[in-house]
Amino acid sequence: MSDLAELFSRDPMTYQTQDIDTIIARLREARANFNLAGKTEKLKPAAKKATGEKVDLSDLGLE
Amino acid sequence: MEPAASPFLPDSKIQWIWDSTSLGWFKECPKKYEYYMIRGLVPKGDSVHLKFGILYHSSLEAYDKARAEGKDHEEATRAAVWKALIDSYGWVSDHPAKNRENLIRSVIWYVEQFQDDPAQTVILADGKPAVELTFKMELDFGPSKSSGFKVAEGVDTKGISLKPGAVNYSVSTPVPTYSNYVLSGHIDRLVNFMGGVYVTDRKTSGSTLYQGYFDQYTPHNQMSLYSVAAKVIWSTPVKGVLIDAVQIAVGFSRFSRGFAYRTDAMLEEWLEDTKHILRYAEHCATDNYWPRNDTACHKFGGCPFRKICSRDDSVREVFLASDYEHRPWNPLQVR
Repeated sequence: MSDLAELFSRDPMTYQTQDIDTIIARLREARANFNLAGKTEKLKPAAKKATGEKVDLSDLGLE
Repeated sequence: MEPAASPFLPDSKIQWIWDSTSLGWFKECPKKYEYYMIRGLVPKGDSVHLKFGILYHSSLEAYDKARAEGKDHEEATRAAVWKALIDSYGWVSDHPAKNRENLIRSVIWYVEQFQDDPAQTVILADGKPAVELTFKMELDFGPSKSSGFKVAEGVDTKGISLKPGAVNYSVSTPVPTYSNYVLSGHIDRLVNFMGGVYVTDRKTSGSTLYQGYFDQYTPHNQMSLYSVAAKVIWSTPVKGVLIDAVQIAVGFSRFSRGFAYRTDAMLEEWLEDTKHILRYAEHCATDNYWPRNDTACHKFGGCPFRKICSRDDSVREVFLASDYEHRPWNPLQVR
């Protein structure tokens, strides 16, 4: 069980301040990762569209 | 918690204190209102959205209050998260997105997103920050004399003034009962933003916040009520409502901010409309008959009582008993 899941399963009245800070830190990290994933997605080069030209098999060394 | 007083006049079904929820039900369909408000019925297992919304609101209120008290972002975040953890402990949700873990995540992601929020809390004339504003606002009319209830004498019947200094009530002032209708509600915060004052409200959604999402809030019952209350009770000339919406998904929470603008003229219209709506509600209560708006059954996400109305009257009570539970709504109940 991850530390976050373990914390959520406990009665919060048993928490120390450090436990709340751990929850906050983990979820801030998740947010940073989510935002980074979004930026990485935007930076990916657009896939080249197929031109519709026929492939010359001699170019592939197959003839 | 001490039980709240009844929102109905004694020995009647005439509701004297209304909030945006009960007013909205009646506007959508009087029969829907009857099921929800008069009979106090809700579909079984229907509370996850309401529960999540209440927990989200109260946690972020804790953040707002802490910041207004001078605490820094870190302390206020701890206060909000602590409140969310305590209030939600033991809550088991079978909803894939609206559950305890995603509640905590949404609270933290929201305060991170808006920690340097240009929308700043208004400080009221008494020096207190404008957060957690519960209001009861007496209108200038009540149940008609023909219904057998007496309107208080000496009440100004010229209409509510939207000008600063008009006499109306905050929650700390005793409200005369049974004389006039009262509108009630709870405003999260008043803020200064870009040269204007706004009421703020937070909305949660399980769906993508599409372009045009905020269009649904104009016209809108709740946003108009909040704007009227802010103008009348706190003598604050608001431009409308600043809405912070969040999409609650399985793996993320995504935020968007929009506005529902209101002019004085629009609010005067809304008050006049409300007067007529409440007269109609009184008429339904006096006749003990609540007509169906059969053009609304598939709107507003689909009426939860459609499957009752679509059955013959002879079997409705059987389905109501099996598929619905008694959980009355009371505008007087503190949530």
